[in-house]
Amino acid sequence: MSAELEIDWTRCQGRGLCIELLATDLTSDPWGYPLARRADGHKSGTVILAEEQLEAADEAVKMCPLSALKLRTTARQ
Amino acid sequence: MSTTSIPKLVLGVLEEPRLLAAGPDASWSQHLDTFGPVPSATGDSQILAQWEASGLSGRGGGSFPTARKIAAVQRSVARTGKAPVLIANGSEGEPLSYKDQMLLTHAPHVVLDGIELTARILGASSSYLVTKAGAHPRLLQAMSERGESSVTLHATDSHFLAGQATAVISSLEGGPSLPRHQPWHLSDFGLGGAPTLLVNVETLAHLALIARYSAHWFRSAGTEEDPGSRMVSIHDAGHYQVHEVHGGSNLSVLLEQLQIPTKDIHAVLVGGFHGQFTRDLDISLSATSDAAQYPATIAVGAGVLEILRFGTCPLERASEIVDYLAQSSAKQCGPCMFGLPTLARDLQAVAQRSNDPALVERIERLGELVTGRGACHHPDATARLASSALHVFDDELQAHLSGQCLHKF
Repeated sequence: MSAELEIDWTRCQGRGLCIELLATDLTSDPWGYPLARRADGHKSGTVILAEEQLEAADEAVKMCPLSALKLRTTARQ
Repeated sequence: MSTTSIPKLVLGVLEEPRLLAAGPDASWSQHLDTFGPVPSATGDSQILAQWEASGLSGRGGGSFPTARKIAAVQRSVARTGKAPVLIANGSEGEPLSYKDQMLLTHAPHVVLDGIELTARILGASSSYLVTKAGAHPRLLQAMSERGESSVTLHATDSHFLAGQATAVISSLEGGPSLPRHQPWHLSDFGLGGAPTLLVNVETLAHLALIARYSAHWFRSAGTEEDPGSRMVSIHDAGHYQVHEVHGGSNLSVLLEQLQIPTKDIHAVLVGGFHGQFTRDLDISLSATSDAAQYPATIAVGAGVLEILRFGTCPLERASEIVDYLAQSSAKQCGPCMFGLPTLARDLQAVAQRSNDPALVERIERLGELVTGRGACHHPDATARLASSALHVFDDELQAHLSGQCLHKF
């Protein structure tokens, strides 16, 4: 399984809950918006997550106060 | 004989106009005299094959292969059973682009033919032609000349981002002309959830002519990598001109043919405000942007060229453009809303000859920070333009950092 966190940037207001829940993958940019820690972590609006983060990511999706997150999982070939 | 001895194909302005062959402000009868009627439906499967063989790429800036876009919509229709929608995009939000407006004014019937044919072949339930309101009187006149028309005209805003695909969809659905979050393809879920083909108006005009004259005819202009002809808008010291040129045209040949003096040209901005600068004029304007595979080519985008002459500081010009782009942000996505004004301010400091040595690194870092983090590619393209300016105008940059300007004495 691989997982991508899809961020609706038009909704996100940088409340930062996802940054706390996914601290190993996300950090905050200078304006408080979620930023992938990995240099190549951003791919057209999504953040690629480590496999063991799935549970935390699921939590982040549910907790986001602006419903700006979606989790996309794909079975690895 | 080695392969390097093959003479380089040097192309420029089209010898005979294609899209504008019926002359300026062409009426329906002039159009019919020149091009004949729209091919009948009996040949639709051959037309599709010709479109595919033509290698036509989108003329709105993205340069995506048009036949592949059409095939994606057809696959989506086959899978879902939903009727598709066709959107002809003539919004032309780029302030330096005039080619769509020219085409809609002088050859509206070629565009309308393209819409009619494509809608018929796709089995579209509805088709829309989206342009600035100013183009509507001429289009309404053209549509009435043709008799019954199933095309719906839609007026869009004139701001920079209004022509972005998702902004056009949003506007057609009654929302603001602003990009939106759209993680799926329009071919799967576009206008009102229907499989949607959204293509530039010039692209449709080419489809209309390929359907009549074949892919072979289309490819007799342009190069292997960038077949056919394309419209370009050229800006030189406040004057603009629109021309139909060969795909893969050599920039210096093109300028020479148009009798644009090249002696004091310092650089050219290719691809408009979302494009990049080049100082090398011996370069091909192409649909491809793969610099590794085609080193002497530059992505032509929607065909906008701005000429920068000695005496105009290119860093000042780049700063003006990035400032405009920062102001054009839809201010919906945080990284774009906050990042672009910061980027613009730093580039302005460079343009004003600030001696802060950290500026360049900060601009590059800001560029990386905003890239890929928005609903549309506006932040990515703005960062690319700023970075292009710093790399291409390295001499100017070094001078500015030491308080000098090579263009002002």
